[in-house]
Amino acid sequence: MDNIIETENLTKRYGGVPVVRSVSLAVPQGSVYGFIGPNGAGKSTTMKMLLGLVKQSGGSVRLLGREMNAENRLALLRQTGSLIESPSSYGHLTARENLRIVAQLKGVEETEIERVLRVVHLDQEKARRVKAFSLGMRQRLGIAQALLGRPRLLILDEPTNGLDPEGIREMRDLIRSLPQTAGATVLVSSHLLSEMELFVDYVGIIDHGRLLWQGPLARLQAERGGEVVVTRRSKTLEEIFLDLIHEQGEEAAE
Amino acid sequence: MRAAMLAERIKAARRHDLLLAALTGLLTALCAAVRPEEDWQRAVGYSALTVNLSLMNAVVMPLAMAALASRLWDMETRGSGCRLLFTLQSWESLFGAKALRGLVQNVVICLAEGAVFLLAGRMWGYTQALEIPRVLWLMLCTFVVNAMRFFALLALSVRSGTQVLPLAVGLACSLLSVFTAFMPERLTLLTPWAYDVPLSAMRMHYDRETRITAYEPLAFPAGLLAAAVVCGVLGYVLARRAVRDQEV
Repeated sequence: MDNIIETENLTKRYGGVPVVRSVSLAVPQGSVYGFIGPNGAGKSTTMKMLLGLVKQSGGSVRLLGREMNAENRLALLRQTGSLIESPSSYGHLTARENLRIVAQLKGVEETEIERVLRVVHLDQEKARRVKAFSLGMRQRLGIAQALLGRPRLLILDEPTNGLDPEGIREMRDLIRSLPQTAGATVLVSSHLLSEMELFVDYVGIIDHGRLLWQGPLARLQAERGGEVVVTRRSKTLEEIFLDLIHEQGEEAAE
Repeated sequence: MRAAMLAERIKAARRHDLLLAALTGLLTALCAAVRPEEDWQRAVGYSALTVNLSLMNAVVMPLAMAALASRLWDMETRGSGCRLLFTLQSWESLFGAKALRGLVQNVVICLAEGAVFLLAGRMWGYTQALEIPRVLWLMLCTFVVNAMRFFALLALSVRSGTQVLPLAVGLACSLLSVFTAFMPERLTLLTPWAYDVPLSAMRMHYDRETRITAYEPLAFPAGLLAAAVVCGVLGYVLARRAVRDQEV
């Protein structure tokens, strides 16, 4: 399977302090790739570098099969949708008007707006001003903005942040359905590991800016899943993740 | 750039920016206009309006430009707009669209002020002949000085990420401008945000005994206007860099 995102030794330092260290991601086309790690692990910085929002200190990014540079960045990003940290929106505008701005800048027909509003179940709320939206509705609007123009790749940073359980479930179902309904590959980050294992099929585990493991979720569970002695159940992603971090810490100490 | 301008127009929905700009220009100029009670006042109506309006502009416009600049940028700060916009458009096109939007509003202010010259003369029967070149000069100077204030305050708005600082600076400049009318001429050159007064090309002489004010038209100070343009370009560069350096 081809990789839609490939990074090689991607590195970011702020004032000499490394926050992302030689990360080499490989996100297969058509997958839902979970980029997981605790808060401050370097997920958002890595994603911002993938979008060219933050300049990398070292390494390279290949997006949609092409090396990203200043010249082709916006052309590549027109085929990409993103939601980084929190959704960007204008409170004084309606949901539809917010989407019109994105459609205008992406060069997408305005008829697309109705389609993405239906996908995120905001078609009944399109004439309401966004300042009256709940956080969950804003997150869905952010997803709708990302979906405009039928992007081949979606980069979603913590899309379930601040959502209630019902909102999280809705978002999970939506993301899981995107490869089929929108034909998009999804790179999604979260620190909610128990949540992620319900809908991703590939994972990349990052901590302290280092990529500790990446590959199919099934392989991770087969390789490292083992068994919890007391309950005789397979280890959860959270438990595997904690094992990996623990091992990494021990290696560093040695 | 066209897409960026259209996007900016959508963002302006329900904010009535152009209407507010027109009202700012109209009200400022109407407050400056003389309602003559005596013939000698009718005979110097336009000259009086020129002097008063330049002073009013020096006082009102720093705050008005602070409001304009911070309103234009504040919507991006509040909605974390740059994080999304910088994946869809270059920072240059975002800045260009904001700059153009601000300048269009500035043009509306100047046109509204120019319209008051025509209006006031008819309403209050000024007997002085209207010198169109002087009105156009005043409008041009107002545009240039406003653009300088706008870009400087836009830079501040972008850098600070808040509306409070540019508004506070705008207010402080407005208050300081009150004194520029009473400063020695050379000292006013040190207050570029209040260049409206020395650029007005009209000097006022008040005779305490007769209580009559006389007005002396001066040559257009092209050198000072050039200095204002240079300050405006500096403000433009500062604002452009501030947008370029935006962290998302």
